[in-house]
Amino acid sequence: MSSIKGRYIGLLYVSPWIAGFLVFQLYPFVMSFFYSFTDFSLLKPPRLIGLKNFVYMFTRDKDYYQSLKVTLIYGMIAVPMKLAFALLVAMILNLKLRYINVFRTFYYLPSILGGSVAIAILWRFLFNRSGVVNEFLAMVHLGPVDWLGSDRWALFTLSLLTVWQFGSSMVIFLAGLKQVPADLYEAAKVDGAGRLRVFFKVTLPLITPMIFFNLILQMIYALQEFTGPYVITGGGPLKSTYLYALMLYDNAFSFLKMGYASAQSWVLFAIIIVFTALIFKSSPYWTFYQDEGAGK
Amino acid sequence: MKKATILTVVIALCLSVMAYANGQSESPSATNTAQKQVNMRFSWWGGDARHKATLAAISLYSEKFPNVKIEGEYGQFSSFYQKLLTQLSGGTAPDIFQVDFKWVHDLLSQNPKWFVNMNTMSDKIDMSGLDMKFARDWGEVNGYLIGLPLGMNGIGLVYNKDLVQKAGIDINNNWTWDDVLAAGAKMKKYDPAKYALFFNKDYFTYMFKVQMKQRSGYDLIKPDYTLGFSREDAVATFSYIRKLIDTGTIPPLEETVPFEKVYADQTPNWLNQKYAIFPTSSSIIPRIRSASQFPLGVARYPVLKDAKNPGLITAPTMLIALNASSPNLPEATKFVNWFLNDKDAIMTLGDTRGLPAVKKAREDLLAANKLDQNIKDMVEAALPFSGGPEDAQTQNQEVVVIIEDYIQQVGYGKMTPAQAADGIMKDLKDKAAEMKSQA
Repeated sequence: MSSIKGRYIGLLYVSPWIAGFLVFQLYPFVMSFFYSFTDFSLLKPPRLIGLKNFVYMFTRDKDYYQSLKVTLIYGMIAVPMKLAFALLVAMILNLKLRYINVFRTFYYLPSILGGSVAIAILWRFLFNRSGVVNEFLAMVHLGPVDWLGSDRWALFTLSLLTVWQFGSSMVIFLAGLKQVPADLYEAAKVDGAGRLRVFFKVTLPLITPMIFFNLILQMIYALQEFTGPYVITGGGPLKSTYLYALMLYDNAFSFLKMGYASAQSWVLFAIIIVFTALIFKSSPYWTFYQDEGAGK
Repeated sequence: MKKATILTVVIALCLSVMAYANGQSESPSATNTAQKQVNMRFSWWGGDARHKATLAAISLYSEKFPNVKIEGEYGQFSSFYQKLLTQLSGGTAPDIFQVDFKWVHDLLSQNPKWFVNMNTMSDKIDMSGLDMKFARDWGEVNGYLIGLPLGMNGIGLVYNKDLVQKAGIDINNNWTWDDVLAAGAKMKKYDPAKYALFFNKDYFTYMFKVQMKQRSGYDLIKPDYTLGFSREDAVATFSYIRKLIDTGTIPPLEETVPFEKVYADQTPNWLNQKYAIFPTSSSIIPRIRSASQFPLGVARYPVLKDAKNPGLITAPTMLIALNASSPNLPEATKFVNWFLNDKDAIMTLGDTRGLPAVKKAREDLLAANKLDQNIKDMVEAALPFSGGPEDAQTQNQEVVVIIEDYIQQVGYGKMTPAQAADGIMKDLKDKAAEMKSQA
């Protein structure tokens, strides 16, 4: 009886979340699938048009492949850079220093500030032609680089914003690093392994589950990235930062093509599923769990 | 047990839905009697000067009518339309909101039922001070008038008086596009690090539209969904843009693109006097005025020699619209009437929405010395050269993005003017065909 009561109360506690999930996630999820087969302008009732949205997307939309391309490139630049940087910071914060918790808090701050408008303005001032970054470069007789003004650099500059928000990945890495048994380090030291060797042979293999987790999560985030490019570049110059989510947003809210945008979002969903499946499939070959030994 | 579980969830859901419904029903019940508390929302876009003045006007109104509370929702122009669309479709749009003339056709051709037809409101709102032809030219589709103009806008040149003088540029109301290039050369001679002119994204698009209309005599897409220009017109305009960059009359796009979404008041090189002239609309003057530490002057927008149509954009700065499904429609209507015509409102709002569209407001502000001469001069210089109302098809948001794209392609040297002309013709034809099929 008490377990039934426990369950009853438990459900009551989570009911706000369930309500939120049903209203804000499941309902839009289902409806967007329906809308993807319609011509829907937001202001008029939707009209069924079959697969026309998908046909248009793959055969006639001249922005579609450009946007898909820059989104994939963005993912390939931003995710590895972010993970590498997060790991580096995690290793530094794993050192036994005084006030280390204070440092850990400070290093998490950029992730809280996130892609806010204030950060967008900061980024514009740092990276414009006469911005702070170029002034530093000029001191060593380099540049100026058009970080945001040139189609060669803009995507990379936006990736830096993502890298700068390394906090959540860093925390996960930090937890992973703490779990690496100290005796393994001692044994490696006794055997005369150098620092680099210890990192590649002991640390890295033992945190592969964390890399796996972070990789999936960050890949999903990267393919859906919106705020940074929206507030900083607006997709330009020359559509070089016109990420998938921006295109989707324009179609939905600027061009009144909510049906078409829904179709695009379902294709994005499929792409994310494929990438996630690929990473999952590949994981036995490169992740290592201490309690199971190597995956294969 | 299962039944109990489901029951719990259902009850919890009902509770949350009821809580929501409760919040929703608050305002309708409040309007039942005239003296009961009325809560309304009013949304607008603008800069700081406009925000402050509008908030002051709202609190003045609340002092006069203590039972009416108006919540202001304000922000930048760049994301206002998207927010408004979402609110309209979700049934959460404010009782009163601003609409830009560029959206009128898209909005009304989709579904006019969201907006009160202002043609039916002449007994409740005093429209005698408004030029109703002007209002209908820009705000009406098939007899449906989406809103009333708050200000009159004219396109023109705002310039830094000191810098223009130092560079020896003779800026006046008779400039052609060749004079712009000549000014560019003079500025280079005076200081190679400075530029005569710069554009942000919006005004680059306007420049393209205006110059194309001056060449061809028509808007880009005519009401019959054919193109209003020839390939030669497009090649010539794109070549002119290339020339602006190659001669250093305007900075390279690499330099200005990071600031393409903001106006002169937030462009560092305007504020530190590296750029001399900003082609813009009169309604933008107040925000530039309050940010610039140097005297400003204005001049008429350039007109092509032998132009087939002078082409200058003179349009409402914005229209004020009423939400047709507002539960507070009578109160909202009263507020709009006050906002347009009341002397206190006029004095409080000043010229923050450009030259007021209501004649009496213009006279009152002028008499009280509260109207920026530059705003008045810019509109008055533009009016005789007005290109008339823009065809609805050319106002489509996708058409605007197509223009922006090709300007960048030419500006960055990725396409020659000829390639861009061919590209834009193809894209605009496709878009026109799509609009025709939906009409």
